[in-house]
Amino acid sequence: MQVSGAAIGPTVAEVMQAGGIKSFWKGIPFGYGRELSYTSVKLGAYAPVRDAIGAGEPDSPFYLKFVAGAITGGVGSIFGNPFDVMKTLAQTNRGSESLGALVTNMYQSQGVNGFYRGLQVNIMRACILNATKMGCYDMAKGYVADSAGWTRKDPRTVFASSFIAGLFMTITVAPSYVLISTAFKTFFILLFTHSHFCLFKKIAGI
Amino acid sequence: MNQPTDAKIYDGFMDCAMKTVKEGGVTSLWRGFVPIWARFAPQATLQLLTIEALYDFFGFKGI
Repeated sequence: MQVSGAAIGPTVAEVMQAGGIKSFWKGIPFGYGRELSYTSVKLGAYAPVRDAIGAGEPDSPFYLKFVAGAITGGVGSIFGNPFDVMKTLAQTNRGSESLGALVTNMYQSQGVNGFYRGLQVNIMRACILNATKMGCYDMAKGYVADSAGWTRKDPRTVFASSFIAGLFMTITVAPSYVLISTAFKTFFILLFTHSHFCLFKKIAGI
Repeated sequence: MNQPTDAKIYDGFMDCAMKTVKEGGVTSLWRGFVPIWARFAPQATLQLLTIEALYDFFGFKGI
C-alpha cells in the first residue's frame, strides 16, 4: 500500500481473495529464523554493549544509548539478512516449491551473494530502528517512572515506555520502508513477473 | 512509481528518496504509517517485556 496508495481495508481484502487467510503466514519459518538471529542480537546484546561503551550508568549521556542500539541493530541485521531475503521470496512465490527448494534455487542461481541482497539498506534501517527503539525506550522509562511514581522495573513502566518507543520508531523507520519497497521493485520485477510483484505488494501490505 | 523492467528509473537509494519526495511530497515517506505502527506497538511491547525478564534472570542490569 506504500506503493499502490490503496488503503489498508482493500489491501487486506485483496490478499484474502488471492490466497485465503493462510497467505498472511506465508514463509513464516524464515520469519522465525529472522527473529532468532536478528532480534536475539539486537536485543540480547544491547545491555552488554551499552555497558561496554559506558552508557550503562544513570547519568550516562543519552546519545550513547542510541549508539548502543544502532550497533546491536546493525550487527543483528547482518545475521538476519538471509532470512529477510528468503522470507520475501517465499511471500512472493506463487509456485508450489518447498521452502528448502527456494533456498537451493537461490543458491544455484546467485550463490551466497544472493542471500545478502539489500544488505546495505537493511543495516541502515536496522541501525535507525534499534537506536530509536532502545534509546527512546530507555528515556521514556525515566520519564514514566518519575511522573507516575512507579519503579523502572514495574511492568506498567515497561508497558507504557515500550508503547512510546513504538510510536517513535514508526516515525523514524516508516520512510525507509517506503524507499526499500520502492527500490526492491527493480530486483523483484527482474526476478518474477509483474503479477508476482503485485501479489508481494499485497501480502507485504506495501 | 512502478519501475519497468526495460528502464531504470531509480539510480540508488538517495535518487529513489528524492524522486519519491518530488512526486508525492514529504508526507509520502510516511505512507503505511498506521499498519507499521500496528505491527511495531505490540511487537516492541512484547519484545521489551521479554528481554527485561531475561536480563533480570541472567543477572544483567535492566534497561
